[in-house]
Amino acid sequence: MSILNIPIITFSAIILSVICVIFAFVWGLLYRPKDE
Amino acid sequence: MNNMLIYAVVIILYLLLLLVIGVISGRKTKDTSDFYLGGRNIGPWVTSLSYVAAYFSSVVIIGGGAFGWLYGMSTLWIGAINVLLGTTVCWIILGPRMREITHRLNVITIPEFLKRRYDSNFALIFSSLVIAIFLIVYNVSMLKGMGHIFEGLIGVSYIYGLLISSVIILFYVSIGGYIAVVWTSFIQAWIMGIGLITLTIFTLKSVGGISNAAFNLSVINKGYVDTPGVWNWQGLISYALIVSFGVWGMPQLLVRFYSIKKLSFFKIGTPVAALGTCLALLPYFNGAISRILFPSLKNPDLAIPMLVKSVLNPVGSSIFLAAVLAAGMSTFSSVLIIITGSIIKDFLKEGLKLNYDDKRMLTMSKITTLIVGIISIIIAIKPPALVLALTAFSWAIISSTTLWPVLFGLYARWVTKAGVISSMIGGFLVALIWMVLKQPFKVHGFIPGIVISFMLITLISLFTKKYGKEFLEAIYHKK
Repeated sequence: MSILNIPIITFSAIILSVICVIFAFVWGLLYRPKDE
Repeated sequence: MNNMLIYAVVIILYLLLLLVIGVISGRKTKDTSDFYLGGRNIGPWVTSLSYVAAYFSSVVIIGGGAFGWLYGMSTLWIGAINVLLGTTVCWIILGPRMREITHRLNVITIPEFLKRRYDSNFALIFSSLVIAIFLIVYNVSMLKGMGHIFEGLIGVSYIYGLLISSVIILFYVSIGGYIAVVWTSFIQAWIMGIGLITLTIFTLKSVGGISNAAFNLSVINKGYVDTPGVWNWQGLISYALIVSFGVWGMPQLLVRFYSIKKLSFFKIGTPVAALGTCLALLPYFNGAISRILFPSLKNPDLAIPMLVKSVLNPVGSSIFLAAVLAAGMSTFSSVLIIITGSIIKDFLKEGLKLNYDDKRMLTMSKITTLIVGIISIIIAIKPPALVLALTAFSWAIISSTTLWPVLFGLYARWVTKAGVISSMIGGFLVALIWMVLKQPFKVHGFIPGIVISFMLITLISLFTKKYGKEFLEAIYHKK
């Protein structure tokens, strides 16, 4: 299986990076600093 | 001649911008807290993007392209692990906690944090010496990279390239301190982004898009698009770990967490830093695709410079040159100020108890920045073999010494002084000896360094005297 002729195992590196950015945005939305 | 004029105009404008930032920052730098941490008053965008710029040096751009050319698209995983471990997880686990504790303890450097957290003068002196010595070695490689970039891309001699870039950096760091470092790094991150994205767009245009590029690459060798493909798992994983997890012990990056103005700024800073780190995938990607255009190269380091010359016009090439220089300069300046802090603030003031007033310390810091910079330039003019050999290991040695003491220092109350000291010495020695033995089993010194350092800090802490409750409350207890 491939996306844009790139095997899915290689393309997953790009998917992981996108997931990390989305995760960081969600974390930022949920993060509540305790002492401020 | 016209091309040279375009290069000259773009580079001169860029360097002038850095000088102006240096002068403005100099006016805002009134004391040592400003010089080393910008008065802990830095915003989320500047903190996060200056982190990205300090993370990626010109060596990463040129070397990443070389890795991409050699091993193909599997190297995209190095960039992805950078985004995951080097930024996202690092910012979430270390960032807020480090900002909170260092602010409470009123410490401004990593060795100072280790001293206060573990009540150990040895931790301070040992870590400050390791950081100062091995970051100078690391800086020599930055300078060398910048000299070669001038030489390779616009034909200016190595020495002139080295001098032009380093003199500008020395000016703005010694005048403006940390404020100049973060603001120039912020601008440099944008230039790096524009340069790398421009190169990627034009590279894809020249090879007919991503699908075509991947197809043509797989025709040359299917291993160039597969993972691990023509590489191997242990090589790929260990390299990705070194340049991602290793960051967790690198003071020039961790200091960004000290200086951010408010804890709430991590809400914006973390996603911006993660997004910015995605740029790390581009040198590998472009390097991999460059194999279609240049199936054989004598030196893989030429992959990116040749790609630039081949797909970009002179304006694009000059922007990319500025981007690569920006990458080198931002890392060099970030490292330079950490070395100064280790020598003046940690070793002389805290370690040897030199009690000078703040104004005198500030002057000494500025002069030391210049001296360290000049020493780095002199070594970089003709680096001895030992320095070159140490360069590849400087990250590993510093990280093996400081990574676990910093991480455990933020979270683990049960870690003992004996555990920390043995971990620092053990991690340092193992990484160094591994280098002297020329990497047995082809494993990079970082891996045994952090494994031994982890074992020592956990095992020895189990059997040695713990810190008192009152001492720990002062470190961890919130007001």
